[in-house]
Amino acid sequence: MRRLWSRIDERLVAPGPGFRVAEIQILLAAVIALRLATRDWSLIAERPAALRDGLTVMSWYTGTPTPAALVAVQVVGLACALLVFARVRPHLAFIGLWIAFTSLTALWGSSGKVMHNDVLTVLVASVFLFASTPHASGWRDVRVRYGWPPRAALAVLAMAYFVSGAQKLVHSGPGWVFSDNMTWVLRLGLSAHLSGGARPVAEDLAHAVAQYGWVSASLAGGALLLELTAPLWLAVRRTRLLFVVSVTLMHGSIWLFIGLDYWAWPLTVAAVAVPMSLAPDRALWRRAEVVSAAGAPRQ
Amino acid sequence: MSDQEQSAEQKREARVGRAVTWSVLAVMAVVAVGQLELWPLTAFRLFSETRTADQTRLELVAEHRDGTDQPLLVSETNPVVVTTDRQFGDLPGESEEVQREMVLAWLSVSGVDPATVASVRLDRIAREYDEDARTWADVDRTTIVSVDP
Repeated sequence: MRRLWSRIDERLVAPGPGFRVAEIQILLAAVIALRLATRDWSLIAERPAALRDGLTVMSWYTGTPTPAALVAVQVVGLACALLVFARVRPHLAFIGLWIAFTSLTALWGSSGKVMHNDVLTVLVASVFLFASTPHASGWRDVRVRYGWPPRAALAVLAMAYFVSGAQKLVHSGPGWVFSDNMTWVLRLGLSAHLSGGARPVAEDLAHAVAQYGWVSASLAGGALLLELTAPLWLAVRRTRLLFVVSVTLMHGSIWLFIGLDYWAWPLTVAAVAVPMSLAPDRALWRRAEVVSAAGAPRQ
Repeated sequence: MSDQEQSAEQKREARVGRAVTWSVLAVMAVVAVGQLELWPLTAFRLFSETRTADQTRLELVAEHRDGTDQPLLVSETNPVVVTTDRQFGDLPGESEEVQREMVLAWLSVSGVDPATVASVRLDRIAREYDEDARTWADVDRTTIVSVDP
């Protein structure tokens, strides 16, 4: 057990190339910018104060923000994202982007329902608040400070999916898969739009899946297995890409069948796991001659 | 920078890495085990309860002074406001003053003039699924609480 722990620790704090931290920071900033840009945040202002509910990082603020203030936070966040892309004070800009996004999503979700749509992005990105980012001239540097943030991000991803799977077993047991649970999830999801929820894209297909118990049970089993084994998929470099594909299929089917928008999850997984599926000396968008697989600069 | 200084620097960076990583994972674990919801810290309970054929839903109904009933459709066009229907269940446990505030807020976002409403009642509705029609039908209705706005 001690040897295993020691190996995990060695891998976590092994040196890594500067370009990997920069790549993942840029990709996460792109995911956040996409979410920031594609939502009308001023709608938060229409919620009466009496209907605000739930504990969030924004619970200290009890007022109702004006539409102009909400749009201003959105614009500041997007400006910070541009600075991250342009590599102008990227660390400071990323902190600004994270604060803007986290504040707006916390306010958006303070209506009584725990909103998970953006929570994975916020948690994974939080690792990079403490990460050093290399200057343009330091992308080739191999340091411990550039090695641990991408691995910490992978660990947060693995933890989130594993806990999500474990909670299903804790609260429902094997019946989550082997009962007609998924059939009723689908049938309830298909009617959610009647009370203001999202309308599924593939209604007929969802009805067909709900009709055949073995198909819906297989879907449930596949989803639970994927969540519980996330740490294994993400621990091995060669299976990370497969995990990205698998979670995209899982969240894509949720969107198709019950209309829930969880696109930020596979995008966040891809932002971290795709660069981390490459050989350590191979940059995502730069030439490969920067460092050796062992982490030492190539001559 | 000498080799010794470089090694000390790398050790310091490793300590920061360990502290950040294990702290974040430990907080996530505590929140999950404690079933806490302190957004963005969450217990990740996504569809964790088993769904069955026995379904109920809550509905707010405005009883107008002219004797007509109107179910409140809470601002279906605003995704921020629409999820406030999750708070219908909190209504019976609140003080009369808070109940009145909440009901007035729901009337407002539903576009209903409070002056035309005698009272607002909260109904629990039992539902059954019709396999042929592929829809849910209301089969029983019980009033849980009634509030005068």
